[in-house]
Order: sequence, then structure tokens, then C-alpha cells
Amino acid sequence: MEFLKIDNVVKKYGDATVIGGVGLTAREGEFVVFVGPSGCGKSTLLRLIAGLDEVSDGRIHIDGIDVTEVPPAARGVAMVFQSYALYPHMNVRQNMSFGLKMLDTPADEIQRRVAEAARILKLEHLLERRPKELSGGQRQRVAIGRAIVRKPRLFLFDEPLSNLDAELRGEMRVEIARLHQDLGVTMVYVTHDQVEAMTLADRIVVLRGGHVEQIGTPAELYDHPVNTFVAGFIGSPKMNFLSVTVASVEGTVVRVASPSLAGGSATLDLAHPVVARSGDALSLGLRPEHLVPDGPGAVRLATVLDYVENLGGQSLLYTRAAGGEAAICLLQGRHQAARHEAIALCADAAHAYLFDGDGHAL
Amino acid sequence: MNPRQLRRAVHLLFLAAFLLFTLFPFFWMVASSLKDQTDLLASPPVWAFTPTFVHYAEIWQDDEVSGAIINSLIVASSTTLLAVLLGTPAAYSLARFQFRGKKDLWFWFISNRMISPIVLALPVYLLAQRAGLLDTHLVLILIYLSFCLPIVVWICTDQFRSIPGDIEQAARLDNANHWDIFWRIYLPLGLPGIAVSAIFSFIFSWNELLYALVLTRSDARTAPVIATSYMSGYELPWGKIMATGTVIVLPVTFFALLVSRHMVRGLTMGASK
Amino acid sequence: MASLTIDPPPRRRPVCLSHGRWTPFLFLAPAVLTLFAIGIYPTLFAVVTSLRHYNLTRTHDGFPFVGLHNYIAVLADHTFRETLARTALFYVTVMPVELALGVTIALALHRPGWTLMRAVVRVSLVVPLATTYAVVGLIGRLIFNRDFGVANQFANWFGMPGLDWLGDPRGAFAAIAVMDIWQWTPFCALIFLAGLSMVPNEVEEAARLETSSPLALLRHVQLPFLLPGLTAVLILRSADILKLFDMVFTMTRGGPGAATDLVSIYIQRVGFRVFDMGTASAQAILLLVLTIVLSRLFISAFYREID
Repeated sequence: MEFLKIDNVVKKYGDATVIGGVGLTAREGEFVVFVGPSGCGKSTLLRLIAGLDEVSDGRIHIDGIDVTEVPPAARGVAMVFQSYALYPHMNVRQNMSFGLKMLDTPADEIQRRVAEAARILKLEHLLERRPKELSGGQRQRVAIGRAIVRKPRLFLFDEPLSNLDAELRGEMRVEIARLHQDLGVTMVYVTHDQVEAMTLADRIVVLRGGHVEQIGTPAELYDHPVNTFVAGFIGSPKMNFLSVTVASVEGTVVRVASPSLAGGSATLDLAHPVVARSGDALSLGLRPEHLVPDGPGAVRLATVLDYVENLGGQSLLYTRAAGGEAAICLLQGRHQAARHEAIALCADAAHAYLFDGDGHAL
Repeated sequence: MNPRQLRRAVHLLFLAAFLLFTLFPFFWMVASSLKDQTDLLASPPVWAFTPTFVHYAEIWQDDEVSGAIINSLIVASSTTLLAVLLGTPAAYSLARFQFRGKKDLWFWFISNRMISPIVLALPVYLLAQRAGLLDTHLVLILIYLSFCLPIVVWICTDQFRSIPGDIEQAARLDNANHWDIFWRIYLPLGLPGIAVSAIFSFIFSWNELLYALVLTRSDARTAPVIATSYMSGYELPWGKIMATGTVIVLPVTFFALLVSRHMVRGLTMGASK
Repeated sequence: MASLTIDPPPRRRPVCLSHGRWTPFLFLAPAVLTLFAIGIYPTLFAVVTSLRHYNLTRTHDGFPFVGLHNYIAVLADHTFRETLARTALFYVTVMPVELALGVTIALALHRPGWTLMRAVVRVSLVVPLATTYAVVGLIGRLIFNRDFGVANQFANWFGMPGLDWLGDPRGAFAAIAVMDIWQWTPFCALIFLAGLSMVPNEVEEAARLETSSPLALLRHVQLPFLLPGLTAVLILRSADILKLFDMVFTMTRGGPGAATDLVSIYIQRVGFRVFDMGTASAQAILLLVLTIVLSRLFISAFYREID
């Protein structure tokens, strides 16, 4: 039984369509992440779920009840804002109690819940402070605390970590993951950071231009991206793309040709019938982490080294393929090579992705 | 002196000269209020004299002056209080809602800043006469709202709009209705702006002369009216006039110094930020 | 964390106002109704009055409707036209001085160096602005007194003969102009200063690296930021001078003769000395029309559409 159900939701501002017919569902207790570039409509979608904006068309159901016309406070959702949106004139305790007070919760109950949330989030010693006396990470925890005390059925996070520095972001990510395990509540989380999406999500929804590109577990998105957009968005550094043409097709096996490929071509077994004909122009996708210089793989790129970025334990090789495309290779350890040195970057055929002229995966 | 030093010297000299120009009339008023009648009428004017507080003692004992100051206090504070009470909800509405006619409403509020008081003084005099409200605090308080309310609405709208929208959204999710949001979030957070607008409202009501002149006769006369009322007869009581002037000007000057950073905002209705 | 189970939803207050169509108007109503009662209603009353023969000293024949008679009379009235022209003359007399002085002071306050002194001057600017306008007139009357006024003393120091300022038509006009300049130059200075502080620091610093000429800096970098303020000052001050009453009334009552009879002073006299409310109302309505045109200008120049 789906807990959250979004049914063909449309949001228009005047003539501009921000969300163009999105449908998705989430099971109870699931952690769903909306990810996409800025302007893809992910935050708008979240606000529609919260009820802060009204949908132009479509329905939203929470726990089997149609909440499309229900005001935000009555939907039983809590939201953590990107800016935290703490009440600056109230201390931490008042910030966390405000929502309960508005619900006419008895004082001792408020007291109990705030104490509990403060304990979970290690905020006990900060209860009397004002937001401006807190660090970014502490404010973030108060914002989460404010959501927890209301015992919502659905947690919404709107890019909650984007205002934190890199180190805190890592810590808070772990805390949010732990919180999700402990509370077992359904969470919807918006981010533009695919690392957050990959690490936190049970399921990821990739959005672009107000449309869903793909929904799936992190592994599904990584292993089987439906198009070049998802393939490029998930994974870091970004997937390399090369223009290739189909030389021959035999059942599930396809041979593609490109000047960038060592020997002029490579043979791939897609394990399903190939819908392409000889002469079709395709894109060949290779993830940087799957490329190995002078390795054993069947796909071999003839490249010239441009530049090496040494990341300590890993190195990034910026190369240029013979066909002119830039290709990046991520490898463990360091690489000693001179600029303009020729390198063959090799990948296993199982790690090669083919996309048709419209960017759809073959 | 090299050119750089010369420029610095000219800079200082100019600043000093302007400071003298700005403060001179104020200084001259205070100095004159401390001169006795002989020093006051000396020609040419004397700059060194023995200060005397006789004129202050005089106005202290003059029930007319103290009464007028009390009237001014009553009128200015009541106007301010009402302007804040009526103006802040309107400011919240203008800051946070979309509705048709908002622009026209806004235009109307701002126009009140420009309208000459004589335009309203004529009809209000006739209406107040019919209603028996001439020479009452009430008529002054009401008519002063015509310029104080727009000031409060303007400054508070500006202030409320600077409150991040996320906070309001968070409050909505916290089950707060608009009244809760206004009362528990916007009012406390907007306090600095509300205070500034209240001070402007007080200053403008305190300083007003034209309405007070035509709408009051004796009971409700305000301080500026009294100060003007000495200006008849041949030998004017300059000491008393200047002492009264000083007493009128000092409190508002103090208030103005408090809001000096916002002076432009108050006087232009925010046209130049 | 078993304690954090899902409770049954608590009793909820109705959130009726959330999307209420009338909510904005509920919040606006007190202010709008008040302003309507004290602003629009009297204005309409003034319009009606302006269509009547309405002299408070001759009440026995009632206040008959006379149509546009008052307006025709007012437009044909030499004195009214002269007061308008005099008001305009006053505007073109004081504005150049206030603008030039205001810009100079703003530049002097913006220029680095003498930090404490600049702070003192900056704060002192609000003193004239806050001074009760009526009291400014009283001070002016003392300063420009023929016998014991300090203005004549200054004149003598510079080797000029004394003058009966307030008794002389040109002198009185000059005297009220001086007091207006004293009171409102700081206003111009503050607006221009606000404009100058809008110039991004980096831009100004980059320009200072490229030119050492303060004039070039003013012309190419700072001027664009001063122009909006200039327009604001020009429009607001024109409305203010149409309103100008308190200071002139206490200083000269419009005299000697009609030398300082500005438009608001004149209408007040027609209304409250001659008690010809009908004529005065017609004059006031014409003034109002003029003001509304100015407000329109002002608003279209300065307010981005409020969203």
C-alpha cells in the first residue's frame, strides 16, 4: 500500500508550467529523494506535497486520504527548510514548542516531547539559546527537532544541508540517515547533490524541467540509467560520452565504430536484442571509475593525456580521445605520465552504456 | 603643505563650516532663550552674556504653555498608538498577500504623503464644526492619522517584507493561522521597523501646525500653536518664544537622533534605499 | 526510539484563514476604512463645497449650488495665479542651492578621512529636518529682525549695510528661502549620500585605480547612482513646497504685501480669514489635482510594482 501517492500533478505559475504531470508513490517508511539540477521543479513538488503551494491539476494522497484540498498544517507533514526558517525571536525550546502550542497541546506534553527531541538531537544544553547564537549545524538540528516534536507522518526536507560546510554536511547526512532508521517515518528529501541522493535514498526520483526522468533505487539508476541525462547526473565525475556509429548488429551483440576507439571499433554484448541498425549514430557512455589505463577491458579508448589531478589516494586523468571528445578517468593510486602522452583507457564491455540519438538507453 | 594635505584641510574646513551652518539656528534659539530682555534686544546682538533661566521659569508657570504641551503629548501619542494599531495589520497584508487593486491601494497610501494639509483642513473644519468636534483632541488625532498611517504602513510593509518567506511557511506548517503569524511572528520580528515608524509618526504629529491652527481654539491647542500665538503686539516676548521653541524642539530632536539612520526612509516613503 | 511512535493526530483548530479570499482585506480594513473616513470623505465633501457658494460670514442666504462658478473664478483670479507663480519661483530659487549644496555635502561625507567629524556632521543633518517647522519660522523671524537680528550683524561683518529683511518684499522672500535651504539641504544631502553608498565598493575602488580625478569618478561612476535620488528630491520637494505653510506663516504670514504669499498660505487665508469656503475649496481641489499628478510621477519613477 503506498503511503504517499502523487497522481499526475501539474503546477503552473501563470503561463509557465513548473511541474508538468508528475506521478509517483512512496511506501510507508521509505526514504525518497528528489534530485535534479536547479529549476527542475523538485522544491516546488515538495511544497505541493506540504500544501504550501496549491496544485494546478492532479491529486495528492497521504495515507490513503486525498489531501489535495487540505491546508498544510492539517496534512500531518513537517518540513525542514533550506534556510532552516527558525523563528529568530524565540529560543530553541520555544521554536520547537510553537507548532504544538498552535495545536493546543497540553503544556506537560509539549515539555515531554521537546525534551525527548532535544535528547535525540543532543540539543539539551542549547534549549534557552536564540537561533543566532547557534552554529549552522546546531540550527539544522533545531529545525529537525521542530519537525520531530510534531510526530509527523511525513517528513519533508528541502535541501537541508546546502548551507553547511563540507565536513558538517557529511556528519548531518549520517545523522539524518540514522534518524530515518530510528523513526521509521516516510521521508521525502530534495537535493541537487547526487552524493546525498545516492547515500540517503531508498529510491531516487530524477527530475528535469518539471518531468520525472527516472525513478529507482540508487543502484538501478547507477547501473541502468534510462537516458543520457540520468547517466550524466548520477555518478561523479560525470559519465564520459563518445559519438559512435553502429557497424554491425547480430542479435544481442553490437559492434560500434569511432575514431576514438583503439582499433576503430568495439564489440558489446547488451544481453538483450539490440534495436539499432547499421549506420545509426549512438552515444557510448563510460564511467570514469570504470576506465583503467592499459587495462584488460574490451572497450579501449585511444586518448592523449591533457592533465593529471592528484587527489591523494586517487587521480583524475583528463584526456582527449582521438575523435576529439574529452574523457576523464578516475583511478586508484597515482599516475605518472607526461602531458601529451598517449594512453589507452580500457573498460569492461559490461560497463559500457549505449544511448540512441535521442539519448535513450538501448 | 603638499596638495594632499591641502585637500584634507579643505575637506575638514568644509565639513566644519557646514556643521556650523546646520547647528547655528538651533544654537541661536537656545542661546536666545537664555538671554534676558536687555541682551535679547541689544543691537547688534551680543554673543557673550550671563545665561538666565527666567524665561523657562515663566513658561513653567504659564498654564497655557504647559497645557499646550500636554495637549501635544496626548495628541501625538494617541495618533502614534492608533497609527501602529491600524497600520501594522495593513502592512502585513501588503507585505504578504497578493490581491487585486494592491497597486492602486499602494498609490493611494503614498499620495497621502504628498497632499497639502490645506486640502483636508477646509472640509474637516466644516465637518468638525457640524459634529461639534472643533477644539478637541479627537479631531486632531483623526486628521493626523491621515499622514501618520501611511508612514507606518509604508515602513512596516518594508520591514515585514524583509522577513524571510520560509519563516511564514514554517509557521503555516506549525498550524499557525494568519492572525497567529502576524501576532506571534511578524510583530515581534518587525519591532525595529515598528519603533522607527512610531517615532516618525510622533515627530510629524508633534510638529504639525496648520491643522492645529484651524481646528483648535483654546482647549486643545498644541504647542506649535501656542508658540505662534505670541507673535502679535509690538514688543514680542522673544525670550519666552525661544524658550517655548526650545522646549518643543528638544524632544523631537532627541527622537530624530534615535532614528537618524532611517531619516531618509521616513521622509521619502522609501523611494531611495 | 520506540517512544516516538505515531500518536493519533491531536485536536486541530480550523485553519480557516489559510487561503481565505477575504483575509487580505480583513487585515487591511482598519487602515483603509480609517483613511477613507479621514481622507476620501472630506475630499468629496470639499468637492461638493467647491460647487457651492459657501461663505461662512454670509450664512443667511444659505449655501446654494453654483456649479463650476468657483472654479471659473479661481482660474480667472490674478492673485491665485500669482501665488502659484510665486510658489514656482520659490521652488526654482531654493532647489538649485539645495541640490548643489546637498551634492557637495554628500560627497564630503562620502570621502574618506576625518571619520569622527564626518560622523558628527552626518548625525547633525537630522536636526534641521526634525525641527518643528513653525519654530523654524520663529527662529527665522528673530534672526532676520531689522534691529537685533544676527543676519544683519553678519552682513555688517562682511561690510554690507543692514536690511529690514522682513519688511522688504525681496528681503522677506530671501529670508524664507534661506530658512528653507537651511531646513531642507540636509534632506538632499542624505538622499544623495544614500545614492553614493549604493555604488559598490569594488567598483569605486576599481575606478580609483584607473583615475585620480574626483570629477571623472563623479561623472562616470557615481552620477548614475545619484540620478534616481535627484528625481526623488525634485518631485518630493515640489510637493513639499506646494504644502509649505507652517514656516512661512509664522515668519511672514505671507507678507509684506504679498511678497511671500505662497499657495497654501493664500488658500488658508481665503478659507479661514475671509471664510470663503467655496472658493478656497475650489483652490484646494485644483492644488490636489496638481499634487496627484506629482504623486503619479513620483510613483512611476520610484516604486517597482509591488509584488
